[in-house]
This record gives sequence, structure tokens and C-alpha cells, in this order.
Amino acid sequence: MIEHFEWETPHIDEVRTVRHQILDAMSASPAQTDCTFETALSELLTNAAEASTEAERETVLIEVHDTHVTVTNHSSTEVPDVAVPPADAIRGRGLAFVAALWPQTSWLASDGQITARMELR
Amino acid sequence: MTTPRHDAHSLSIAVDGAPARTRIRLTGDFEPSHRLLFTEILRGALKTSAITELDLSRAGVFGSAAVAAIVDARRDVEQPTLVIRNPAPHIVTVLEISNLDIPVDTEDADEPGLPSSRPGYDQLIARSVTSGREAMCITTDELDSPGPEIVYVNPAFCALTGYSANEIIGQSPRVLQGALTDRVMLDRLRAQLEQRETFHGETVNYRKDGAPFFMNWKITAVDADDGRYFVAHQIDATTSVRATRNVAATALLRDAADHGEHERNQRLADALVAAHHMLLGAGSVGSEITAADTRRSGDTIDRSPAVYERARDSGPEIIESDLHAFELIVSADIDSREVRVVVTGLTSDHLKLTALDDHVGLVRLAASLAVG
Repeated sequence: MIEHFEWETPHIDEVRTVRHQILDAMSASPAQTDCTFETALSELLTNAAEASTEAERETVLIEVHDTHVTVTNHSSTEVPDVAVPPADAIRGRGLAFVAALWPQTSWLASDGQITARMELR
Repeated sequence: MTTPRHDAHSLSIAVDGAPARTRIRLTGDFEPSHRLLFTEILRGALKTSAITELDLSRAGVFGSAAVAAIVDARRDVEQPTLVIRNPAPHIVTVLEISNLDIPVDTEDADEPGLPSSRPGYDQLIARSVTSGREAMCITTDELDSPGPEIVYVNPAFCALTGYSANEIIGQSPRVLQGALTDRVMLDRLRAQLEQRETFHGETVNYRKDGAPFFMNWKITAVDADDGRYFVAHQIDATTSVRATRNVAATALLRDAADHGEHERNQRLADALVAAHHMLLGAGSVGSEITAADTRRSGDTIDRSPAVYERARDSGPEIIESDLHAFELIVSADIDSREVRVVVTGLTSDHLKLTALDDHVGLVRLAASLAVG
């Protein structure tokens, strides 16, 4: 493992800062990032922040590895529904974006938490 | 080893606004915290411009917050003409998933082949309509009031009428009509459209600020997948109408002068009346062409000598004779002949549509012909 973060009292206004921390950590790895990855990562962090806020700001755990990044947050659902929401729905698109932009993403739910794993390339 | 792209990217929003077209260029990463600000900027552009272009060629992170901002901005704005330009592939993916039904324009349409075979053909047509100088308006096909309803106008239409797309879409073209609009022509318009014929006509319409103008327009019924629409092409014909009428009025005077000396002046006076009717399209006209020492008075021509002097020396005199009613008085002396013209029963709309210099020119021409 390269780096481990604990994002305490997460809020969506901090998504940019946390994303930059992750990208800085990834700069030590051979993985390449681009706007597609960064948008997917941003959506994942936004979703984690919103889910955690709803659960009274539980900490989001982030790990940066040579081959993947994981984001773990509280979740009231077992497996994220990555189906595309209706066109007039404002929320709920984030994970659909992640799945479409970064298909090398998988989710694992356990004990009221869900971990998203983004494979790097 | 990767070089983080993000270091140089905070969001900047550049707005190049105009009534016809506003361009917004996003540079950098769109964060959730940008959502409210961008929503307001985009909503403002959509409300005030006929076309809003969102240039995403330099956008970085662009996800659900950006999509939500676009959805929010469009929610209460009846403005369909948002175009997204040059999005990067990841933004194309986001837009496709979002199913926002917003035209996406990429500037790589220089492919060979017939226009209709190009992927960007529809965009090419759309761009031709939006950038054309001829005003264009599309309405539903309900002829009975309160219809038809305007569903699209191009920027040239907004420039012609003074209405923004947001103001006019949903309204009836009747808002452009007024006191001087030719009702007979409107009846013909209706009859021809009911017969599925193309209508071509000319009448007075009114801009948003109330200024009248001559509008030449053509309306064609077009069947689309979801129904029938009327497509109207319009041009401001004020200048050409004035010129045409002036030529015809001048011809009237020259024909009238082609008579023996003993009847020339009366014919010229009659022709002057007809010519002014022609120029104004309304009003009661009186005129006389007399030698200065044989002046006579008439019901419509009897005004203070000082008024004629001012009209002769300083140009046409406009007098408000009654509430919202005006008189136009023009006068000219050539040798010992004096020509006087009084036009009564005019409204301010008549005067706005009239080039006063045309009347002076006609009076002077009549005076010179009377001398001959």
C-alpha cells in the first residue's frame, strides 16, 4: 500500500482537496491519470461524501495502491445501483458516471459499509 | 511516473454575452462547489440570449455537479437553444448517460462527401439557421386564437423584433401586430395556410419597443414527426417599401405634368395628393400648387402662413392636431409657384414609417413641374 487517508467529517466542498491528495499519492506510482479517471474519482468521492453526510458524517477511508484505489464509506444499500437515473433527476447519477467512465471499478458491501475499488492502468 | 494534471486547474468561467449569442467557456475542473454559481451564470445566459454556447474544450473534471447545474439552469427557462461545443471524450460519456438532449457540436466536420452524409449535417443546418441574416420563426399550426404558438426563433428574428427568444417563445405572432397591420392581408394569410398554400405578403409589424416596420414574409407549412408547423421567413422591408413607393409617387407626378399648361397645376395637385397617400398609406391629404399672387384657400390646406414658412425653410412641419393625431405640412417655392401639402389624420406610427425627406422631394418636384 502506498498511502492511506481518513477523510473525517466529509463534505462535497472538500472533494477537490481530497482528490488532489489522492492524485498526489498516485504520482509515486506508474499509473496514468487523465480527465476520465479524475472525473470518475471525483464522482466516487462526491457520492461517498453525500452518503456519509446522510449518516452523520462518518469517516471515509481511502487507500492508494500501486494497482488500485479504494474508497470506503457508509452505505445504507448493499450494492450501489449504477443504473442511470431519469433525465430530470439531479442526484443519483454519480455512480452511474463512475461505472461508465471507469469500467474497471467494482464494489464490495460489508457491515453497513461499501468499498469501491478502481483499478489503475 | 505520472505528472498530475490537476495542479494548474481551478475552474474559470468566461462569458462573452450578446442578445443573439452568448458563449460560455469552462476552463479547468468543475467541482460540486461550483454548481450554484455556474447555474446562475448559465441561467442568465439562457434567459437573455437566443443561443447559448457552452464551450467545454478546456474543461477537465465534469461530472454530476455540472450536469445538475445544467439541469437546474434549464429548468425554468423556455430556451431550447443551448449548444455544447467541443467536449472531451469523458464529457461526451457524461452527457450521453445524462440524456439531457442538448446538441453537441464538434468542430471536426471537414470530412469529404455530400453534406447529408456528414455526421454533423444536422448541426450544419442548425448553424445555418442560427447564423443567418434572415429572421426565422417556427410556430405550431393552430390558426385560431390564442394560437399559433411560437416554438422557435433564430437570432436574426430577435434582432429584427427586439424580443429575446425567451420572451417570445410560447407567445403568438399576434404580439407583433398593431393598428397599421393589414387585416385583409392577415385574412389572406389564414386562407392560404388553411389550403396548405405558401403565403407571401407584406404588412406593418411592430417591434418590442412599439416601433412599426414593414415586414415582408413567407410562411410555409412543414410536416414533422410530431405534427405540423408553420415556418416563417421574415425580412425588414421598410427601406425597400419606401423606395418603391417613392418611385411610384414620382411617376405619378411626372405623368400629371404631361398635360397642357392650363390643366397642369390641377393635375399635379391631384397627383400630389395621390402620391402622399401612396407614401403614407393613410391620412387625408390636401395640396395646392399656385402662383404666389393667386393664393386660394381650401378646407384642408388652410393653415397659418407661418407654418408653411417654417415647413419651406426648415423642412416638414409636424403638428399634433388632436390627441395622438398629427398633421404633416410640407411646402416649397420654385420661381413664383408655391406648393403646399397638408396631410391630416396621421398617427405617430404613420410618421415613424415615413421618410419625411421623401415628402419634401415630392413637393419640390411638383413645384418644378408646375413651373414647366
